[in-house]
Amino acid sequence: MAEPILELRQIKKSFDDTPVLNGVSLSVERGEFLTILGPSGCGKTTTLRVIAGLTQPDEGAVLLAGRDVTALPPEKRSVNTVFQNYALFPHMTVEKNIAYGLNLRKIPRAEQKEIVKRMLSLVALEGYERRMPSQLSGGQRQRVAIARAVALKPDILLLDEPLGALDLKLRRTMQSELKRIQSEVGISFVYITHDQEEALNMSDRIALMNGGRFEQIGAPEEVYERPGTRFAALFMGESALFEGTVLEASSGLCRVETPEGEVLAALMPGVEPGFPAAVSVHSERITLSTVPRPGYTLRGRVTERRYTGSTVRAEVTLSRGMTMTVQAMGALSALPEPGTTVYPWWLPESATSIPGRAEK
Amino acid sequence: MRGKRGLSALPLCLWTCAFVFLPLLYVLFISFLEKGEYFGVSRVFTLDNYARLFSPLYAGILLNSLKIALESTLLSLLIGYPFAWFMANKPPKTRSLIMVLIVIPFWTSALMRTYGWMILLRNRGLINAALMALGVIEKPIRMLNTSGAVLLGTAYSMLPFMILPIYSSMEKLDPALREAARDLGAGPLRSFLSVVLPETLPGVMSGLAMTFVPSTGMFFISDLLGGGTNMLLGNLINNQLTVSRDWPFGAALSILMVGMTFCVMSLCRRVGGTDGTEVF
Repeated sequence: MAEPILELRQIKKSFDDTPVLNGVSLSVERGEFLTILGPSGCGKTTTLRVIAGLTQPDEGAVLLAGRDVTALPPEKRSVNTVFQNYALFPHMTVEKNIAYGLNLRKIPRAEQKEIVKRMLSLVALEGYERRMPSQLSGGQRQRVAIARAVALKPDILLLDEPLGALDLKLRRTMQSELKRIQSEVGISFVYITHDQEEALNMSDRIALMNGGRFEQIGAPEEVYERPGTRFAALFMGESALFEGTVLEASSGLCRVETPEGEVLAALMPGVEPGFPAAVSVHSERITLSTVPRPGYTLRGRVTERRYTGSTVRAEVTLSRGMTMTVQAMGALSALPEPGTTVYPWWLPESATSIPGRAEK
Repeated sequence: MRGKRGLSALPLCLWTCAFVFLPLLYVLFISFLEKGEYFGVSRVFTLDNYARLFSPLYAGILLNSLKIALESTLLSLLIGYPFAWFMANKPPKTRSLIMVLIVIPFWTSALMRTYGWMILLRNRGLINAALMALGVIEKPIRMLNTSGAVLLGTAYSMLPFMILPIYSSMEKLDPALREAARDLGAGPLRSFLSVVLPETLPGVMSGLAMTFVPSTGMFFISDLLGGGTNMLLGNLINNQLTVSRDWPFGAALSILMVGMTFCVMSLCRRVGGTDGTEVF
């Protein structure tokens, strides 16, 4: 396997004795689009700043293309950042902004102009050279910030929630734009977001972060379908989580006894009969049957039913008081009306099992 | 919306008219009259007062006060800019403490503070006494009644007016801009010169305007610390009104000063303007 372009080794960082990063390790391949996904305050921005060199880690090492750069200041690293609020230089034109880094590298004027032109066409802003940042819309500033960072052909481009300030529609457009730009320039992207839809939509791999460490790193499908931890299960989409004890495990499936009844799920490594485990199932994979279904033992009552546009949602309270959300496509009638007694079930492979006991 | 804004500015306009424009018009009017026999003015139109401004004596005083004002402004910029930078890089709590320390001296009159400088600077003052006690010097250094003392005193009293606008422009500066510069390959010095300095230039310009203009008129500092050897424009005007009783000439000098002020302010506004004019 080729050498990773970026490697983080056991990075630790505290601010005023509050640990923010608790041993973060990560490797990013050449040309990869990796997303660091997590709730606010989980340490993702600090991780990004450590990669950029804007924050010094207390422990651990940062390797760029195999070279230890932990002690190097940001200007000596082949890494560029698209900042959250873009951080365009307000007193410089678009052209001067993009050429800022090129100028520092003493690239001849004519060549600079050439590169600026190419960058502007890459981000679809041809002819904007003479504009000032204050004359641009949010989406346009975003593009200039990307052009400015990509112009230096860094090994890695870091993007800190770049779409956070844009409205939903523009965000969708920029998501596919970013993918296009990334495949055109072939630079590795490390992208930060708290929006799981964004992460699933754009990434080659997702690194799910919580409490200063990575919970799970994997392809979007893997992280969504087979969450490895309870946090991952609850953060990715909307899931019901059943805690219990494994009754049996065979041929890729397991049966778990929970207070609400027995539930089935795909068998995951570490899940063994007689030991505690949890079963996680996404709300859109659950079917509400109005008659008991052989092999399934859950029973509950619909307490609420709502229309949300693309889907309909129902809240179900199970016999022992646990509540769960169920989603279905289509009209309101796709789900039973409130008050109905229902028997929730799902295909065993569409649920996943998580070994161990829930942390208190 | 526009009309509302205009209406709410009305009291300010009235105030400015009553206490700035009308008195100025009166001064302008007097400056074209002849001096009265004993006191006041006689109503005879003349341009003599303005012609006298060009005599070598007065032109010399004018140049001297411009020089002192320029030097003291630059001195307070030299001290004020790094100070504002230092302050802006402190945590918010420390910043407000420093702010209080800057403002406290203003609770006493400028005159008192200037007397304080006299106590420090005179031949048997604190500084000389301390230096002699330490054996650094044998004879006291003459510090009071020099143009250096005037420079120091003027810069001292103007310093807060330099620090505050610069500090406020630094506080508004997005820290991400400096980081972006570093990220794009600029070292610490380079990122300061290419990002921080141009971004805080409006603050510098308003600091310059706020200190240069009053510096030309601070007559009591030159009186007290310069021992009257340094005649400045402010002293001259003061003399015309209180000693020589030549109101029309004093008025002409005042008009000259207002004109200079106007020039400096519009110059500063032009350079520090935020209309996208590139300075760097």
